[in-house]
Amino acid sequence: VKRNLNRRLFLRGAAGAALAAPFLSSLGGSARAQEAAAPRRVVIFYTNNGCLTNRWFPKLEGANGAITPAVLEGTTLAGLSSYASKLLFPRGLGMAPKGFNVTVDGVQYFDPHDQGMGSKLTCAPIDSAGEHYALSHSLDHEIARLVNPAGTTTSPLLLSVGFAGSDVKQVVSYSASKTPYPAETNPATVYTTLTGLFSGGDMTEADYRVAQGKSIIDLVDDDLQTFKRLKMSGADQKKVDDWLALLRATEEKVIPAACNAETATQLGITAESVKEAGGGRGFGGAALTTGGDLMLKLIALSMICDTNRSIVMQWPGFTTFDFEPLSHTIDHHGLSHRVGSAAVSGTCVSGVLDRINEIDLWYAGRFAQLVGLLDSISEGERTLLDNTACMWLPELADGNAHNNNNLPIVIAGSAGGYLKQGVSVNVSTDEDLATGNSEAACQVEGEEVSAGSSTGSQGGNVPLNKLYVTLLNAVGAKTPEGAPIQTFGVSDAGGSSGFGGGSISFTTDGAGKVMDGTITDPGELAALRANA
Amino acid sequence: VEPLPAAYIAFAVLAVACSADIQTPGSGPGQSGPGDPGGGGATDPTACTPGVPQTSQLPRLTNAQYDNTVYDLLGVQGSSAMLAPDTASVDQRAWDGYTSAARSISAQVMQDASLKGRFVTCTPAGDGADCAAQIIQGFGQRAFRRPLTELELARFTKLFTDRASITATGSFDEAAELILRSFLLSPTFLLRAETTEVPAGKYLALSSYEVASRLSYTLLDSMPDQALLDAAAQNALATPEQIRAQAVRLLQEDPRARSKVTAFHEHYMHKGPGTRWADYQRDNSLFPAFSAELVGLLSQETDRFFDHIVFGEGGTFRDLVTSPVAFVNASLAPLYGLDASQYGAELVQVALDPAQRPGVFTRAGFLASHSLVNRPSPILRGAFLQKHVLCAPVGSPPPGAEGTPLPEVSATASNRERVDAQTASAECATCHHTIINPTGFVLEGFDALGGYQPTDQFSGAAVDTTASVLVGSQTVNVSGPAELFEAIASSREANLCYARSWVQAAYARELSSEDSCVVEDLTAKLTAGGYRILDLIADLTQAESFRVRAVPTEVQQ
Repeated sequence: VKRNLNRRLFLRGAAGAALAAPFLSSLGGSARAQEAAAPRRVVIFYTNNGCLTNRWFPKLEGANGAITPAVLEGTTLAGLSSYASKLLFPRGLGMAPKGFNVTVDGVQYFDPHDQGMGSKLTCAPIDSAGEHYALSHSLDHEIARLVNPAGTTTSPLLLSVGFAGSDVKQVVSYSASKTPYPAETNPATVYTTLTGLFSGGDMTEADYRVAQGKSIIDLVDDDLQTFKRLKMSGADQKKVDDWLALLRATEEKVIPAACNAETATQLGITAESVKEAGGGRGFGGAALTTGGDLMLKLIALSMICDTNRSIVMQWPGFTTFDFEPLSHTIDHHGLSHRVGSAAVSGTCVSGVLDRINEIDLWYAGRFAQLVGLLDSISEGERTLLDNTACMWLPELADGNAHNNNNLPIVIAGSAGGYLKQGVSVNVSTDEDLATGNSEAACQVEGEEVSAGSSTGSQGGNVPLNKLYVTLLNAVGAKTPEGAPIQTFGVSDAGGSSGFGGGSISFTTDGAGKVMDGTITDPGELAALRANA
Repeated sequence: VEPLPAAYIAFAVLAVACSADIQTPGSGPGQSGPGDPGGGGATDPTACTPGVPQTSQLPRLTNAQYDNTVYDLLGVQGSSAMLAPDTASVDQRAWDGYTSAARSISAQVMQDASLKGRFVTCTPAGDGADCAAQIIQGFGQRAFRRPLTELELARFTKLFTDRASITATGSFDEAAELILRSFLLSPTFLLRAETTEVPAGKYLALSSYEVASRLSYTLLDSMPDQALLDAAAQNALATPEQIRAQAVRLLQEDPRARSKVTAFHEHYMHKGPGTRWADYQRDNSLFPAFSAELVGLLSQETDRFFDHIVFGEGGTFRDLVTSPVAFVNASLAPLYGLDASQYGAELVQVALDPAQRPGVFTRAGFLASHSLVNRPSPILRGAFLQKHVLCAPVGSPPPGAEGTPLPEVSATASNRERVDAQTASAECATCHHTIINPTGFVLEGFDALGGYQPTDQFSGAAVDTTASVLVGSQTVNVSGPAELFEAIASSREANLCYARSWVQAAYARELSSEDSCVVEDLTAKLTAGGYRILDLIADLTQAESFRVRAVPTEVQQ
């Protein structure tokens, strides 16, 4: 794995001791404080259209055992071998609620991509009518609300490249029921937000920036107060109140000393590189390569600046890998169906398994790049990676079967020592949990294949909610009473086998709140805890 | 209003197709089935209830409107690329986008001599205070689409007077840039707020400035021009006649109206980025002429058609679905059986055989985008016409439908026979055999790229384009496209569907039962015939809800 930094960056030590770094000239700058303990974070690396699961998982009998370079060899994740001792494979997990047969308010709506996107981070059903949005908020928002430091945003940092719309198929993050939170695709927006915090060598310039920001916020605040005095509907009143709350939230920020222009430059983030990455729009290769590369660096910088402890890199769903070193002519989704188009049955495209494998390897390379970058930056006694749970989470397991059981998930980093490392843990009771059957079709030239066929796998239906509860506790989230988190999401109903699952029904109050969701199995996955 | 889901999903398209839901649309009070065009609500929003609906007083500029407004104000293009996608409220992501865009736009304007003059309209003398005041007042009135209040003038002036302490050099230009950035971040700029509280009967009258904004954003998707602001200053936008005169002027004179009409039809056709029009492939062994460039060209062809019918011909809805006009160049000519050597790179107007090629749904743009990689798709074509042209309530398919393969039936079976066999199971046939497939079969004379095909690609026999098509509540026996689109042009359902789309697009919100009165009025005029689309657009501004707003209920205090 290529290291992106020539030398290690050092952050302010966890106990307050500044580790020497020649370029950190402004340690202890005015009005800047330090954290008593290193922040703990969740970074979610989200990809679409599934993968070849049988090539992706480590080679382990029964899905249990130590992760070593040997068990990664020959798999999609071989590029992560250098970090084998920092990886955790939580095996046997399935999305909840899961199944083609989910009924909401008496209407059965089915679309495995809508459900994969909508339910994946929310553990809630999707609306059977309208835009088919998820009926609750997503994990990234829960984390942002519960663990982002005072004075920063209560929303996650959600990044993508290419095109990010608010269609259900493009949305994985929800701030509330039926309220999509689309990804940021413009590196310049993230960059300018961060440069607004830089202390830099020239303190006066930064101070002016702060003063201007305050003047503008005062002016916007005054403008909103004018509206607030009007007789308006409750909905309009809420719009104004939400906007005002947003302004207040960003007024007071504690900025780590290493959050400065020199650090950005060290990471390869400059005004020029941001400009080169463009607006981040479009489906072209540059959006994914140059744009994606920059977004991963901006994630690291955002972590250094501690502007967010809930970060999602959402790769776009509709991509044709027609750029170096790949030269695909068929888009990822069409390949995942094996037939070269969105059609759900037909003839296998020639060499389709190799094409999918190339894509899986490309994403594995980006994940390794992110993991490597975070592990190259010291933070106190540890690295940024060590203080983070950096999780690769897929929309689907196998892209043709569209199944959401036995999910291929890997977590790098222990979130500050909370999670086990260097191990695969089967949390299900399925003793013979396999790696799936993604190559069950299309081995033979000209073979016919149809979606939902033999390429899925069996077992692995422990609801994802439990992993999310584990992650929430790992980063220090607490209930309002100060107790550990016990539940997340609307429902943990899963169904027993494959995507088909059992029939699950929900009713809402008509305004988007699910009235009868239940969590039958609260609590975290103790088997994933380092001290368990 | 969002474009159709990304083209990357076939399931969603199939989801239109087969359902048992259609038997019981809306399974409970207040619940609407997936095919219900009106959405939820306890009362039927498609039934006319006279009156003015409750609407938000604080609609926010859509990203398209932001783009256009910034361009008209400052000459800077494409700014909305920095914004969050359109969503309901200003959340962190949206605010970050606005902040980023405002910073970038203000810096660009002040650094570019050719743009700076549009904002700094005077030469600062002395300490520059007079010039600053002139900018704040003059630019402010255009940015806020009304004169600034004394309090607002004072707020922006304070930025100038404080310049020494909040900018590095305290120069005039630094202060000007900060003032511009602040305007672009002002809620009054970002919202099209309607705040006047002057009673008009049981409603509240909109001010002339508020009407000017409504007119301009409805017809142009951008800020009012000087003539509209002048009319507002004279309170000359109070009567339906005054409003209509301005609407007609804008439709005749303002190129932005043409862009808006193009954008509307893009929405009506469910085309644009991320839709099935934007990216598709064809089996090159069957269609060697296919290339990625053709995809873009077919989209342009369609835009030109709509623009020509509306503005070139002063056409009607009937013309949209029956006109023989097409726009072709050397690449498209062969699809229409024309000699490529007679055409260059530019799209030029031609007249096709009206029996074979009536209207936009027999143009290659629609036909190719509603095909599969190697064959035409009667399901996609039929479902689109039923669902989006006739607004038929078509529900979602039963579980597992997506996996149904296309059976061969026999070596000589036609595409039509195979598709019927594919959808023959009882739960699919409910919709497919009665509604979706017959509609699509009428277009079987067009191959997967939209070229005319007299014979079926599988059977080699002549294609069968006869069908019994459900047009609204009537079953119509047709022999081919000409009869089908004649029936659609004459049907109340298609006219209603088109009128409703326009009202929805113009008002940019969920339609209420009060809005349905406008829809019904326009539908009656459209169905009667001879009613130009331009008349329809002008009439959108004639509703009472264009001049007054309802008193807000559920006021929180």
